[in-house]
Order: sequence, then C-alpha cells, then structure tokens
Amino acid sequence: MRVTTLVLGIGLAGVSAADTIKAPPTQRNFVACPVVIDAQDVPCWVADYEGERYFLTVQTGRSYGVVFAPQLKHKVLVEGTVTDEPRICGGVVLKDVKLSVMEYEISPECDQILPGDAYRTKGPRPIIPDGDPPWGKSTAVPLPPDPSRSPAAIKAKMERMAAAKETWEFVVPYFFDSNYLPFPAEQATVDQAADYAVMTNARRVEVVGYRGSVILSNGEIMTERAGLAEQRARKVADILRDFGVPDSALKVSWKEEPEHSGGVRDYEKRRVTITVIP
Amino acid sequence: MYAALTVIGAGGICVGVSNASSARTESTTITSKWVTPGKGVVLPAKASYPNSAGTLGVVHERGPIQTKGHPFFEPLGSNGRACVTCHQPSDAMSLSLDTIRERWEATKGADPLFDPVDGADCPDKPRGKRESHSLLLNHGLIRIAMPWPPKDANGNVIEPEFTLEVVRDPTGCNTSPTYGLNSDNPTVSVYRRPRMAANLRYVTTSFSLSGRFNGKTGEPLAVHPKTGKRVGLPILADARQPTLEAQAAEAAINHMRVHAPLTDEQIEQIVAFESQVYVAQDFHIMAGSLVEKGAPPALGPMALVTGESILPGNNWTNPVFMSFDSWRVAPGETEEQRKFRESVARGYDLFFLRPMWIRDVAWFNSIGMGNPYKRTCAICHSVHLTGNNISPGLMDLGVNNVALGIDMPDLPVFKVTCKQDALPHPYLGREFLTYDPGRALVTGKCIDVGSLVMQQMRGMSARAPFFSNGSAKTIREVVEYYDTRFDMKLTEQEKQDLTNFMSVL
Repeated sequence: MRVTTLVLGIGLAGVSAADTIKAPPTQRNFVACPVVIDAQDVPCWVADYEGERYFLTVQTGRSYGVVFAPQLKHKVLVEGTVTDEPRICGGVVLKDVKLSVMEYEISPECDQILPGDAYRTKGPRPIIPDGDPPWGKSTAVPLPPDPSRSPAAIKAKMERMAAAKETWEFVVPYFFDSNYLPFPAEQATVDQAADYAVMTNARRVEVVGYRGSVILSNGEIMTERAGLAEQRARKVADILRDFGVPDSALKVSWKEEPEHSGGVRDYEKRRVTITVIP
Repeated sequence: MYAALTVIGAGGICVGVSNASSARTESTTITSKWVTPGKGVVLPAKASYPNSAGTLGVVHERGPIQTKGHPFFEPLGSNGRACVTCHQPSDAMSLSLDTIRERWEATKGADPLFDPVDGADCPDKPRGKRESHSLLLNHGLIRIAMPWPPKDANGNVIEPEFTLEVVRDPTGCNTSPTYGLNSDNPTVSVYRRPRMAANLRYVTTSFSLSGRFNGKTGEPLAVHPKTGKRVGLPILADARQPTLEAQAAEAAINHMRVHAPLTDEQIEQIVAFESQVYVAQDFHIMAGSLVEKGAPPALGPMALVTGESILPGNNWTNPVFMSFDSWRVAPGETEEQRKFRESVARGYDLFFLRPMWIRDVAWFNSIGMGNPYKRTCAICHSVHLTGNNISPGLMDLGVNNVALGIDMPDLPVFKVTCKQDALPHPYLGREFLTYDPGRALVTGKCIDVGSLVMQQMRGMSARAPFFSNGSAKTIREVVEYYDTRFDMKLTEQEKQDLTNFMSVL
C-alpha cells in the first residue's frame, strides 16, 4: 500500500492518500463546512460535498445527547451511509451518521446560516422552553427511551454479572481527534465501569486506549493525532481512580497504531475499552 | 396602603413608615445603609433597604442576626475588613458602585474597603489618592491576584497551555517589578466585581445528568471534604474554590489579611449565615409593591425563602420566574403603574420566549449544543427563581474578550497565545486579547480563557454595575450588550421591557 502522509500541524491529525483501500460507494466520509438552515420549528444542519447536500442533524441539545452538533467556525467530519429516505432540509439522509467537530483548527469561512422557511423539521427540543406551552402542545418529538439504559436495567445487569463474577467490557466511544466525554451516555459508561469495579472489588481493571483513522470518500486516510490513544487511556484511568477504583487494580495501556474499519463505521475504532475482571 | 419598614442604620436600626404603593422613598427615613464591620447591630429577620429603583427586601430565614461577635461581620484580620465590607445587605449582599463612592466620600478613602491589597489598582499605589483606587471607584472592581503559572489545590504548578503577554497595563500592576507577571512571585492581576452572597441555596448546587461528572467538561466533579458529596463550580467567578467553606477561608487570607486561618467554627458560622439570607427587590418606584397580593409569585425575597431549589426552569412546569400573568393586563393605582407592570410582563415573555441565535459562547455552544444554537435567554439563565446556571455555570459569553466585550480602556489587556498541541479557544482561536483569562488562570487551559461562572439575576437594582468586570453600568447596558452580541434586533420598546423586567427581580 502506498501511503503519502501530509502532516497538517504539530500533533494534529494527519491525512494520507491510499490507493488500495476505498470506502464503499454508499458511504460518505468527508470534511466540510457545516451550514445551518433556519427551518421551521427547529434549525437543521447540512453540509455540501461534491455537489450534493447532506442532512446532518436537527438542533437537539445535550439532554438528548445523541449528536454532537456542528459548530460554525469549525469544519465537521461526516461519516454515514446514504439512504433513500425522504430528504430533510433539502439534504440526503445518512444512516448511522457520526459528526466530529474539527476543534483544533478555526475555520472562519464556515459561517453560513441560510433561511429555511421552506423546510419544516421536528426535533426532541423545541426552540422555546420544554414542555407544553399554555396555548397548546409542544412541537418537540422526544426520542424513544432506550430500555437498556434505564437505571433499573443497568442495576439489574450489574448485580447479575457481579453475582456470577463475570468479566465486563465497557466501550467508550470518541469523536475524531477528541479526548472529550461530553455526553451523559459516555459519562455513564465510565460511571458504570467504576461502579462495577468497586462493587466486585475487581482484581483487575484493564484500560486500553486506541486512536483511529477514517477512510474518506475521496480516497484519503485521515488519522487522529499521535499520542491520543495514550491520552484517552490515561484520562479514563484518572476518572476511574477518582471514582474509587484502586490504583493497584488498574492496568493502563494504549495502542498507538491507528485502526480503521475499511471506511464503514470507522468511528468504532476511536475508543477506550475498560475491562473489569472481578 | 401603608407598610412598616425596618432599615438598618449605621449604628442601629431606623424604622420608617412608608406608602408601599407609590411614594415609599418619600416617607422612608434612612440615615445610612452601611453595615460597619465590628459595630454590633441586630439585623431584623425582614428588612427593606432603599435603592434607586425602590427597595430591596432582605430576609434572614432563621430570624434576626446579632452581628456582634459574628465572624461574617467582625474584622478578623489586620485591615479592618469583614466579609460584610464587600457583601452588604443593602446591595443584595454584593457591593454597588454607588455604595463604594459613598464610602469614599464619607471616609475620605479611609474605609477598610480601600485597603490597597486589593482595593487599590495595585498594592504599591499610595492609599487615599483617588487615582490609586480608580478601578474600584470607577467600576466597582476588586483586584484578584492569581499566581502564574497556576497551581493546583495541592500547590503543584500546572503547566499552562498558553502564554500570557501584557499588552496594555493602565494600572501598572501586571508590569510591576514587585507584583507583576515578571516579578519574583509571578502574578496576574485581574479585576472583578464582588459576587452576591445570598440566595445561595439556589447557587451552591450542581446539576449533572451523570452524577459524578461535570456535565460540561466531562471530568469528575470535586468532592466536598465534609459531606463527601460531589459539588459543582458555582462559587467565585473563576470557580477556583469548590465550596463556600473554602471560599470563606481564602477570602479571609486574601481580602481580610487574617494572621491565622479561620477556625472551623468561624467558617461554619459564616457559611450558616450565607445559607440563610435571601434577597430580592420588594418595591419598585414605578411598579409599586412587588409583594402585595396578586403580584407575580416569583417576586420578593419570600418567594426565594419558600421556593424549591435545584429545579431546572427552562420549561413550562417550573418556569424560571414562574408567571407574570397577573400583570399582563395589570392592575394598578395609576395609569403609569399599570403600564410599567405590563412592560415587566412583556419583558419576561421576551426573556422566556424570544428565540435568538446564541453563538460563539465557549462551554455552551462547544459542548454539543451546536454553534449557533437557537433558543431563548432561559436556556442559560435556567435555575428556577434565580436565573443562574448550575450545569455547571461556567461559560465564556465574551465580556472578558476584547473582540466581544464592552470596551474597557481602564483594564489591563493580555495577549493569549495557545500552544500548537493544545485545544484552542473554540471561537477565538490560538491568539487573541483578553481583559481577564478567567477560569484559565485556574486550569491553565486554552479552552477556558475568558470563561466565568454565571451570576444569578436577583437584586439587580441594588448592585450595579454588572458582568464580572463591571462593564455594563446599568441594567439597560446589559440588555444592549446581549442585543448586540446575539444580534437580537430588539426594538426600543423591547429593550425597555427587558430592562424593566430585570429591575424588579
């Protein structure tokens, strides 16, 4: 495999050109300026790539932290699979879309808010305060609850596995080039790992950090910055210590060699695994 | 309708009788509202203190306070100050610029408030000269001296992710060979307003969807050393102390020059006092009584005494300031009063319902909300009854940054240069100018430059100027700032409505 590395900056993500591995034709992995459309009900985010517009997300909010919404002044890495669902905000809908804000560089050119009266979008949070206003029903469309994430379900699973002294692997996902755990879901994963380790007085808690790469739709490979695997592992280990996991039980390592998944779900390689061994 | 008022005087208590509907200030007898450290008085359980918009109600939930011997009111250090010096009941437990100037005139600059350690532009300025205290006398600002590089709670040096260069130094303190950035004891001097030490039940709580995490930074919350509970970052502008206890201990050393650390008992007394005092405007010269039957239920200090804390208010179940419906078509003794009350109700609607594009606010737009994020004032000013933020409330609105803040030629300006391997400030980049690096003086992180803990919205008529650097002299200037900052395109009437609304809180 011929690889040409274009280093963007000290410690930053690198871009390489690969001639043997390509993302599937239905996959869209690209970096572009996000655009806000001031649609009815809630704004939506789109991005243009090679003459086509793609729908990224509606405005949500952290309480519904399922999407890390784009930011003007920053480009966004889009990873998703094209679907034939009806367009939203004029954009092609992507399945399993993952968005990563390119936070290390400011891109002042990414500064577009477009009128969107022609589009009507629904989101989990309305523009005005949550709930039903006095004059009618909220326009919000709440996300369906995930039963596996209910406190009762988590507690039951934890007690069941602890009783059987089962090894439990927790996976903490990350945005591209990021060591940030912004959302309750990711935070809860680390929380649960700590709880399980403390509950079982775990013999060993193995924390392994990884960094990933993405096969872009233009054939380039974009790799997370060097050292990020170590930083991720150390940060998670610090949190586990803070939450009561004894240092003597922690084994912290990282894999510096970047990984990808052939252009589909590459984001799964950006992770830290926490293996709790009772 | 007449109401009995209790007003604290310089050496005792003055009781006035006033017409609560329209002419309260005419019949209230006030000799002085200043509570002097060490001069024992009894603060009644309920009192009203005059301000230019009417009166501020102050309630001590557990009954009258005897100040004699109380560590909040006694000068415990060598400079004659007590906590109350900068946290006056009349000023919503903060300190207004008007009061600072009154103290200057009354004492010719001899009041302990003007101790050069932080009441002058720099400790080496000659005391008693007006120009030595320009930031305090012109903007209500106290000097905060921070070590550079920062140190963690254990005193270990934190390697900062950015360099600081002093590019303008009107006070001379940051370039001083004794007190400056390049002195033997490298120090950054920033200048901030005293914060409110009231309604703290609504402030000293942190809200996290994931228990032990700071929901914004994704890092663990600090642990309260006594309770063992996780605590947020609501105290002090830069959140450098996690608890009221730690804040009191630090303030005694830095602001009161105590010779020995406060005892546990003293700290407990201070925190107990701070935790039972509630303030809110209770009378407005235009709106009349804010606590009469039929007044909006969030107004007046008793609403805070009886209110439930830890309630998110950006919703229709527990709206931030409840309802102003009773003033939507307002009753009133005069046409002028009715119009003002209706303006207040419209102002609350604007606050609660008027969407705008909130953008370029670090630790808000940058935490997954998206930049911009279209919502209303209440998305950030969300705590029920106080309008602060406990999620935690750190964010960089922009007031500290030269590019986004109100021009403050009297303040020092620092050039921030973030290192290449650090996350930059999300909207200002790697090189920019700031009046105050804010939270970054504690963490050393570039993404924290400019971030400060949001204040509550009560008692605003008693404690101008506003924003941490005093850059908004009036409530109206606060409104003007937001109108410009978020391109709200408010009409003149809307600006006045919002101003009126905030003036009755």
